[in-house]
Amino acid sequence: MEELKRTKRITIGVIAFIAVLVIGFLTVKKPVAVYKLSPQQMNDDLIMVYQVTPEEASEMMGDSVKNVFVDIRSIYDYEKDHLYGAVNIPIPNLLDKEIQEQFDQWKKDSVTVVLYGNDQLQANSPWMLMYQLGYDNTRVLLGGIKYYDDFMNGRLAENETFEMENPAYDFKKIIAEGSSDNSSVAAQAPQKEVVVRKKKKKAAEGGC
Amino acid sequence: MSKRYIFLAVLLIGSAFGLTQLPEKPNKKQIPPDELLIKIYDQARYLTTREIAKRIIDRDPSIFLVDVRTPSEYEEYAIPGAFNIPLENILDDQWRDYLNQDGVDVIFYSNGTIYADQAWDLIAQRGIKNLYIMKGGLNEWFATIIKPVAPDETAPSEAFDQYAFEKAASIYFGGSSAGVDAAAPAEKKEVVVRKKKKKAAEGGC
Amino acid sequence: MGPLTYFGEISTEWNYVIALFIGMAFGYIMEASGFSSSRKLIGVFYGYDFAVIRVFFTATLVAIIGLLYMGYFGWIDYSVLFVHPTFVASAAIGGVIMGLGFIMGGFCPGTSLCAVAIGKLDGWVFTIALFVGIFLYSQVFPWIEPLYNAGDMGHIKITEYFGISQGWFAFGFAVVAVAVFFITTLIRRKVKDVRY
Repeated sequence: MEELKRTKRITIGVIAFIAVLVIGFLTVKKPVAVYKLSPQQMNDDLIMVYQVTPEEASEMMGDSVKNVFVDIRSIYDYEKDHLYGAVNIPIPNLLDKEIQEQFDQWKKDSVTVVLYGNDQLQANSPWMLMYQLGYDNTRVLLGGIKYYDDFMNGRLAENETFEMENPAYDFKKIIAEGSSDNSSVAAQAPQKEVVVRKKKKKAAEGGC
Repeated sequence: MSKRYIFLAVLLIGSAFGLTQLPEKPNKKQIPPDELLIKIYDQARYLTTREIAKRIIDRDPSIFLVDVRTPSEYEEYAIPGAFNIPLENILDDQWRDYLNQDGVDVIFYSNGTIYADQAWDLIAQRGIKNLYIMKGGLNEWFATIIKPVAPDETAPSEAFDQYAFEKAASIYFGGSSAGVDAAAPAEKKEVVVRKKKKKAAEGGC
Repeated sequence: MGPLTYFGEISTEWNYVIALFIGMAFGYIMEASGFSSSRKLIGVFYGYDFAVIRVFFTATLVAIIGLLYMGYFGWIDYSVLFVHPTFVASAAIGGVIMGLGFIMGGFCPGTSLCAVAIGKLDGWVFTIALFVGIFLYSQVFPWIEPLYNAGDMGHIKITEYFGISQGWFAFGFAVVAVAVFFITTLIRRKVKDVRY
């Protein structure tokens, strides 16, 4: 018990240890939200269809209990024009506490939440974020509100589509035509050589 | 047995037991959702096709174009200098260093903007800066750079300047039939990806 | 650089300053615990003094618990801590030699320097012999190089190897440490007191 004669030192050490823990627990930041899916899982789920076409949307509009439309544009855009019965949640507010509670509630009631913006692109990233946070009842309205309005009012231009990823041109043909006219060669499908320099991991030596 | 000894032992075991009750620590390599939301709201991640065309023509060494479409689509047509990483493989470890290069702007593109945006979203979670998206994708690229449309006669003079640039770019990228024989030399750009240094700390006893 | 992240990045230069202070504190605690006396050190093998075990167990335990808590608080990023590669076979053989040397010489390398600092003659002899040993080793190294690299397991931690969580490992370690403290107290009572 000889060590305990140095009571003071031990007491100070213990108090400091506890103080550090207490300060740590008081200052630790609680994350606003936690990802439920890893990026890899998210990427795998992208293959599945979590999108709503305008036709489906017009049907869903009828059942406002099971479906809710969320306008992720600014209040200004929302006030100008929004889908019937849509809720306005601007992108910066998506992680607010009340909003998250609302989303939790929707998920609990198995309500399908359809996010929409001016076009699909605007709602895409917010949808990915919410989906990755575990709200797998969220979807995206293809084409956005503009396309939907045109669709409902029969104002769609010919060939207009909500599929943004379909090639609008025959790329190869156009380039082939272009190259036959002049001798530009920059357009040929490039095979880029990428040189990655491998660095050896340095093994640090330590001594005792 | 002194009371103080027992207290110290209990304190040690207790605080060690507290460790087992701590929640799983979020992955450090991933930025928290609120930071990602700020990035999502930032529209500066979109570059126009004209900006990108200009930088390619200027042989800007600090851009790295990533084609996130399928390899077969890439074979058919790709922007000169672009590198193909299909969207489903974008998270593979072998591309990690390609997508995180100091001082090099990584620009994603696809046919539209959606796939590029999804690729951006997945990679941006790593907290990497310099990630961009070509707004409009290849459809916009063809509409503006390869097959530019002449502005109305009443259009402001800037539109004509822009059209002049687009026409010239069109010749450069081989889409135009303007008849000018100003062929650009084929570029084989070599990209040197620098591996991030793993810091190895020295240990001692 | 470095695992401390609470105040942002710490530059390399400041790392050296911090290392200097940590080294000073280390030496102070060693000396204050009486580790410059070879009889105290050796006591653990004869059962009359377990200060070595207690001090090192306590230090390790406090370090584990502190690191893990601080990692949780976000003050440090222990994923950048360097883990030495594990060489099982050479570690086992080296450990045997080290134990023999410890019990015969009465010092381990760190404490022998501690003894040198306070001017102990046996410390000096031990340290000089230590460097002679290092020199001899470097001369025969080509012959025993296979042994030096035997049983390489790479940079691996025990928690990764057995797939247990760090928290539970720390808890188990704490229980073992307290048990060791208790057992050593019992042994200490049985063994005849040695004046030194």
